[in-house]
Amino acid sequence: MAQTFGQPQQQVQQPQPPEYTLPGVLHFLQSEWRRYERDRNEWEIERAEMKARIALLEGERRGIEKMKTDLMKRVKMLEFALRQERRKYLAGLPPAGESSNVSTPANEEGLELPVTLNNTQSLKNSSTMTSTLNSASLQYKSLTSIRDPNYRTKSRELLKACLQEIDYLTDAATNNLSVNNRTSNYPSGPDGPFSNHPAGLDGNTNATRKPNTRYNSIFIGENVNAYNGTSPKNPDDISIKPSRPAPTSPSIVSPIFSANSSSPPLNYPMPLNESSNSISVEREGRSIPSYSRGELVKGGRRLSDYEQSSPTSPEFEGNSIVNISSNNQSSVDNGIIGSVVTNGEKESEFLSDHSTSTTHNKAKNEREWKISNQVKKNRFIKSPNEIKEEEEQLTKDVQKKFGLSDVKVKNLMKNAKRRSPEILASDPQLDELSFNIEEEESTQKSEIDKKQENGTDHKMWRQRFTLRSHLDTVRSLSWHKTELMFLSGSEDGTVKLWDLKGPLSHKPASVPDIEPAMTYRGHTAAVNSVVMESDQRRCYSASMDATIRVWNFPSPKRDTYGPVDPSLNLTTYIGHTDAIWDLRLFPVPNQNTQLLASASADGTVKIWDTEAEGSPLKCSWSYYGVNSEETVNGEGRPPIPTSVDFVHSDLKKIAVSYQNSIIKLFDIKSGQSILTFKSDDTYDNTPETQINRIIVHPTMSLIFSAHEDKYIRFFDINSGKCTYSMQAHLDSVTSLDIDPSGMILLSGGHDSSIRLWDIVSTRHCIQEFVTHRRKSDEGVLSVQYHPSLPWIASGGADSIVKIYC
Amino acid sequence: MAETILSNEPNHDTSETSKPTSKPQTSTESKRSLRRNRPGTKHEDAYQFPYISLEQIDSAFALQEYLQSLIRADKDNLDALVELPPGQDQETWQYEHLRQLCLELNYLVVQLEAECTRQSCPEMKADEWQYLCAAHQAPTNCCAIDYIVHTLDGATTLLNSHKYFPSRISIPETSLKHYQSIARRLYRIFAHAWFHHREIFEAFENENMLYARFLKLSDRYELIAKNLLIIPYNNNFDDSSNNDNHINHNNNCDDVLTPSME
Repeated sequence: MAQTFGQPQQQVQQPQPPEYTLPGVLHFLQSEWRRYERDRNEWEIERAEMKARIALLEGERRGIEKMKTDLMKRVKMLEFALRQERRKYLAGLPPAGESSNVSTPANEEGLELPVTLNNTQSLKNSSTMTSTLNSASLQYKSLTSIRDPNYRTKSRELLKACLQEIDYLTDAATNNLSVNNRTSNYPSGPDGPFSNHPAGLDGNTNATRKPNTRYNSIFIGENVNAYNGTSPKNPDDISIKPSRPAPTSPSIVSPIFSANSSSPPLNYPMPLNESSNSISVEREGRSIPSYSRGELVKGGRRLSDYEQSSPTSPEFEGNSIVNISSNNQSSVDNGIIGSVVTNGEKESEFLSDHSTSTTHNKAKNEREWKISNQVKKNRFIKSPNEIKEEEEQLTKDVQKKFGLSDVKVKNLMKNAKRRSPEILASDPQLDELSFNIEEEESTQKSEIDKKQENGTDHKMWRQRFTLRSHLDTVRSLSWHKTELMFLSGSEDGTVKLWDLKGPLSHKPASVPDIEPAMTYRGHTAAVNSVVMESDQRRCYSASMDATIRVWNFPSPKRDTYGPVDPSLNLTTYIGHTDAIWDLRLFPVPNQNTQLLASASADGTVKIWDTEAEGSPLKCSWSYYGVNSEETVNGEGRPPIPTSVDFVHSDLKKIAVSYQNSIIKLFDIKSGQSILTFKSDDTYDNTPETQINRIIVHPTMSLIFSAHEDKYIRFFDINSGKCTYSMQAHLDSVTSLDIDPSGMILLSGGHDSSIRLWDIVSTRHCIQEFVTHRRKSDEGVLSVQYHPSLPWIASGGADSIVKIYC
Repeated sequence: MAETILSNEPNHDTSETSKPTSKPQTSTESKRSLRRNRPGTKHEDAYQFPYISLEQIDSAFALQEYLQSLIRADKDNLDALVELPPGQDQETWQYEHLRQLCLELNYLVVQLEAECTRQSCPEMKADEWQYLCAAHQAPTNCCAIDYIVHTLDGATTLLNSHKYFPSRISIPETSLKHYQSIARRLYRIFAHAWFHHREIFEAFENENMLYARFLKLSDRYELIAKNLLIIPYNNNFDDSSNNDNHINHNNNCDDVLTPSME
């Protein structure tokens, strides 16, 4: 090389040694380019990470701010209540309160927040007097001691109530936070930018990685905390946590990476899940407090994390967090369950260390946390009610996280649920609050549920609203396609339109009696079936009086007690000559036509075109088809249809069930009978074995039938053969619906129970609830899934509509 | 359907007669036909339940079922309808009657809506009284049909209110006062119909005897002050000549009632 390029080499040699060969330069440029490229790559990664971090922190900040305002609101409210109570007392007993009468209000005004909160502590929990606000509480204590003991007990009662309220609030707040965080973490967490990187990111990226890893580890720790709920009483902890030397970068990376690799938290240590689950189930009583502690620590930790926002000692923080998670992990490994009280105290001390080092502003915030901390502690010493509530939540969490759908957990769930109303009923004042918060929780939960739902774990439904307005049996319900509106039809002859948006926004106060947005009167006998057409903004109702009435939606601005608008009653379809029992809309809305099918006790099924200009009646046929009405044999009347449904997989067909327990397929246009199902296995020539309702699966070629003799049967549409048959209820099955995903069948029966069935795999009952009461041998008469939102409505013979979420 | 029910009928009778000996319903459950309207039931066959006595009804809504069965059996026997069933609570019995009244008034409103409009009756009047609607924040001068619908909706809501009537088994003492205000307001619906839509009123009354029952009820349980009953008492629908004698003008108790200027 040197020889071939002798000449130029010498010339260049003067400024630099002879390395300036072409390949050398190329190599240099290439390596340089590669280096820049890599740097650029890293910067981009860093940027993405920072962006994610900013988003996270902003979310946290918003959550905390909201929580803070909520807390302040509650504090103000409690203060006011306390003041009122005092004033009332002092007014009642002028001589006793003479001295305090002067001093108390002043004191109150001056100290506001500290007094109320601290006071609750000092009265409640004299052992935890380590609080920094001791002086204030002492002041107040001396004040109260002046008064007679009677007053003290009274105020103690009041404060107890206050404390419990604060308790609930903080609980809800932490839950709120954790939900926020979890949702924001999922997209940016394990699937975030860093999982895409090649492993070739070497040492110098460590610094850029740090913030990211920190929250990643929080995330993991949180999850471990959340479902283990147990951590050991480990004496080493105290020394380890605060005094652990700041580790070098490799050591910090390694635990994180190990955690990262197993970061989908659900399959953490898989074999251990079972054991830890069974432990928590067995020993709920003990594990619950620690669970709440875990949550609390998590909250506090995140707060401190947020407050420091990485200026002082990120490494220390990251370390301590990793510590927690590994800590818990070890506890799982050992399978030890220990009391965590000491652990929790340690945590709070640790927190207070932090708070002293931060600025005054932050300290204030921190103090709130500490207060809530202590409140929590009180809680799990004092109120078994809330423990039970948490227990329920825990079971739910455990069940959800592990994707267990086994019967044991379900039973537990049921028990917990059954117990909770009794508990809640114990204290009326508490009742109101707790109920609302529980409701809030359940909505949050349902969101999570929706996200986490997969094949094996199903949402557990809980009752949300009870709607009383009908005066007799509610026979039929129909949801709006997208909104929280539905229609109910009752034997009292009215059709009511309900809008749940208002009641849903009713959070703080107890939900008042919910009134229907509109009551449609027009039928002269019981209403048997209603359907709502969201696109047309119309409602259809069919009645015992042989008519179908068509109603417009009222204007959205209409008040419940607005003026009567006769124009809402659009038209009436007259054609049937006897009671109409079922109505169904064509499943695929069309521009020009919207078909409506009706089944009547006059023996006919009729198809109506609701958009037609002239006569709406399109087609009508009896049991034997459209033309063969006369060829009925001597028996008399043909069988009466009980239910109809359009076949979703073949929209030219419609399925009709009859009182003789036969299902037939007809062609919609011609009214010709296409196929007769062998569905009368148990038919005994009385209506006691008839089919009450059929429903066609939205995607699969399946029909489900609900029989008067307790059966639900599955039929293949193409062959007409029964593929599955089960005794589904303790009494007649009256109503069926299929959830929007097509996985679950919902059924209601005269045994007043509502059951959910897995129709894809096991065909077992997933959940059962009994919420209606029987009237004249009838129980539940209608169940409906919301077509797009996670809600269920049910109507029963007790004139009540219930809504679940 | 009709045939099968008819063929079942003898069975009920035997089970009816045998019932006193075997009181628990479960033992006779299989024998007696169930009291339910299955899909496909014809209008004429609906509610054709065999009569069973109040003690045999085993549900939380026994009184309602019992009252409805009485009404279906014999609308005209007002004394039997209104009389308190032995061993029952007077308050719950009145409550069920008021519920049933609201339920059936729906059907009168359906008839009235055809004739009574904002144009025909711009004010809620009966004879020479004018009523203000109490369903709003402040009493409002609604037109007659609005007043009727609002009053009926309001009464229905009140009767269904979890706050005032948490249970249908026992009524809180404090909620009893609502009976009279509900009855008083519902009465005005009848009054308006009688004075302004007599044909509808009479056709409806001939079919349902609702007003007669209501009058009997309020008489028996003193729901409405006598001087507020402006429809002539003992009225024979064919002659309304002597109604003036019975109208009482010295009303002083009602806040939403104002004498009109006419």
